[in-house]
Amino acid sequence: MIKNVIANIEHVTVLPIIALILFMLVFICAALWALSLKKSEASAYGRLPLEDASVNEGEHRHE
Amino acid sequence: MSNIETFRYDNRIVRNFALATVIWGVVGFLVGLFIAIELFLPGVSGNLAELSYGRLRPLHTNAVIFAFVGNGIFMGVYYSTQRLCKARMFSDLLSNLHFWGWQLIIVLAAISLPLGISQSKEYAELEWPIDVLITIVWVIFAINVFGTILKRRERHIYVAIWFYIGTIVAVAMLHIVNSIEIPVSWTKSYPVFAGVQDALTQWWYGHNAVAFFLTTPYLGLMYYFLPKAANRPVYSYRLSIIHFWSLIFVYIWAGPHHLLYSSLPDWAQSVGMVFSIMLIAPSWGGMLNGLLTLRGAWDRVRQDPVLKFLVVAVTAYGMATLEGPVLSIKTVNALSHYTDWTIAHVHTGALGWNGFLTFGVLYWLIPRLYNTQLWSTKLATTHFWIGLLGIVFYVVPLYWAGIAQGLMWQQFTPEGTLQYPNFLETVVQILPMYKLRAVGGTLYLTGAVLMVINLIATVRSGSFEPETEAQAAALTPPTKDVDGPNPWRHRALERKPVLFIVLSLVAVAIGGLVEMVPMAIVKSNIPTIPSVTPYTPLELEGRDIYVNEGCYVCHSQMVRPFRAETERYGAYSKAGEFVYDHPFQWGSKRTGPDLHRVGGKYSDSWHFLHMEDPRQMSVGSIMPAYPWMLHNKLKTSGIQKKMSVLRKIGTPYTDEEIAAAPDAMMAQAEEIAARLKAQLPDRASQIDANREIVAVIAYLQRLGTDIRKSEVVEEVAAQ
Repeated sequence: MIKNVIANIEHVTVLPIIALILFMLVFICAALWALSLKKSEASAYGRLPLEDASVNEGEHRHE
Repeated sequence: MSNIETFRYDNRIVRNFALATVIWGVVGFLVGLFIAIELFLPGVSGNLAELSYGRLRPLHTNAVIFAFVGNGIFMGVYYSTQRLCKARMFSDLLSNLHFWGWQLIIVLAAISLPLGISQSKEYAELEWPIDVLITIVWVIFAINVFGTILKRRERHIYVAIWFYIGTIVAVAMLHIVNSIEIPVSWTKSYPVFAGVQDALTQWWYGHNAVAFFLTTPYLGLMYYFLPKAANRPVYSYRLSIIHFWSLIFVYIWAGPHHLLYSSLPDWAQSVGMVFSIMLIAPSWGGMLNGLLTLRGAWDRVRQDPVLKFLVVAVTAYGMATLEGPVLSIKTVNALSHYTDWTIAHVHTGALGWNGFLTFGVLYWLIPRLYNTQLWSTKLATTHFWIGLLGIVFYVVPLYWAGIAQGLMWQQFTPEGTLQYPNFLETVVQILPMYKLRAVGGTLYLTGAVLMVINLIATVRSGSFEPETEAQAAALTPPTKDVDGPNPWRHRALERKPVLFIVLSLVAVAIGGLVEMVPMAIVKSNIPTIPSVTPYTPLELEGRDIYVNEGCYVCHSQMVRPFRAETERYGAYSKAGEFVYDHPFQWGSKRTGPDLHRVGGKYSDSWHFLHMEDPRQMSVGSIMPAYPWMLHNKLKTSGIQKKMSVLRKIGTPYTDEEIAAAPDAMMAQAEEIAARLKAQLPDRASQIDANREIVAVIAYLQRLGTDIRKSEVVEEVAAQ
């Protein structure tokens, strides 16, 4: 059945549309997630690379 | 807090991968420079088989992608994952197995590729035992990283680690699917897919090797090391979330842009093109996020070579990811494909994005691992400028060469004939650009050598710190106070790493499934052509030699449906002509002409002399000579096994054909040898049916001729 549906070239064109809809869904979900982050949370998460918990943290920084 | 734990980050594994990155980087650049020189001085190889362009070009691409960038990824991942998770790596044993396993793979590649052991699938040339080893080592890496994430002391999984997770999951899937092959011997296998399906699988892999090996892990490194080097957080953490999910979801669909105007069904080409154009958005979102991280710190870019390298790397990422979608537009691709424009494009990414980001990270990391300062900031700055000049001298001439040659291929005279009917004319025109490209490569390599000197001196001036002591509180079970009442939030999701991994796999798998499953199951996608029949035993052996010699790196076998191509080569290629091609040989670059219709175009003796030394037949040709084909004995012993394997995967050889294969092979070889002796009477004593050249001639003379049989049948029927 699936084989017959996809084999018809007119129906094959539905695949790019499915792809586009899937992408839009993923994009909207990701955007909603991102926007739902509180500013304080986003700011704290963004600082994680700067806080690596080493005991002598910052000792070797050149700057 | 009462539950503070003290632990130690493992710096040894980071140091080991850093060392491997530097060594393999120099080796990869050196091989690249050597093959760049071969393109205008073909004799520089000394006509040694092991140094021929077709064998060394895969060595160059594998060395820079998997050895240089691969080790660079692991160096950065092992350093940053420990610190972002506030935990030592899951297992030191796994770390060491990963390191030594990966180096073993590289050494095996460095031995097998020059020996002509190749599957001919770009960036996946390594034969099946190495493929198995890659899978094992990758699983070890995955367990080690996922295990570290699970035992982390930092609740939030930082965005860099999402990119690592996406990379690990996607590369595993791509490598396994593209490596489905049936072994014939320890050094030979056939992919289960053939022709169009093999092409789609390969370029789904090939494109995503760029996406998930050269891009997403390096974006993870960017999100970690750029804030580190600039000493300020990423510009927008929210943007990084959107960047991650949209990038990994869109990237996986874009593979078919490598096959535009080929025999791939049009719907698949359209999907590839549209998603490629959409890629601009997440890519540029990420690039801007990186560059804007330097807000307020641009003055430091003038002094700090690390930031210089990182800024150019991110800018090169932006340029390459704008250019990629442009090249995916069918009308642009019609000009650019098969030309040096593509080579320039990938080197903007490889030299600029991957190379410069790696250099920046090395300059930042090595002094810290060795408790010292960088030996010479001035030398690092010199490296930066020489490397940048190297990139310019590399890519600009190749843009020129690519566009000029692409236009020459399409140029018609007012009378309607090809302006440059001889392919070689278009090659000779761009040789000065090839020489300039070698200058660019030399500059880039020189910069890398300066880096080696600087890093050695830095290492000598410091003392290695094998472990770094750290302290952090152990994770407590999530509570409602911390997680909030609504679980459907990204922060809740990212605290469940296993679910995160599964969702990443789903995101990257959807694109592959939608594109590849219909291709694999729908017969109408590949219309069969009755006159197309399997290769004879001798042709099959010749084809395997063609595959092993890497002829595909310079010759396509895909005549696109353009008048300029059908005038030059003959009828355009149909999907049904490739149904017995395990693996497909469409190629991606025309340093020499397309060969799909070469069958019957020249005499056997022309091929014989041309392979012995191309300049005997085409003055000024830059093709390597293959004198060893005239001496190497034809292998007849393995042909029955090969045919049996091919039968298992769909080639309709009969029992009788397989039983009679050695005899049939020699009978056809004798026919060709007799023709050669007749055409070259003064060389008759040197012509032997039992030589590789005879099989290669048999294959070349068969190429693209099946379709003519059907034309003859149609003509006869019409009469």
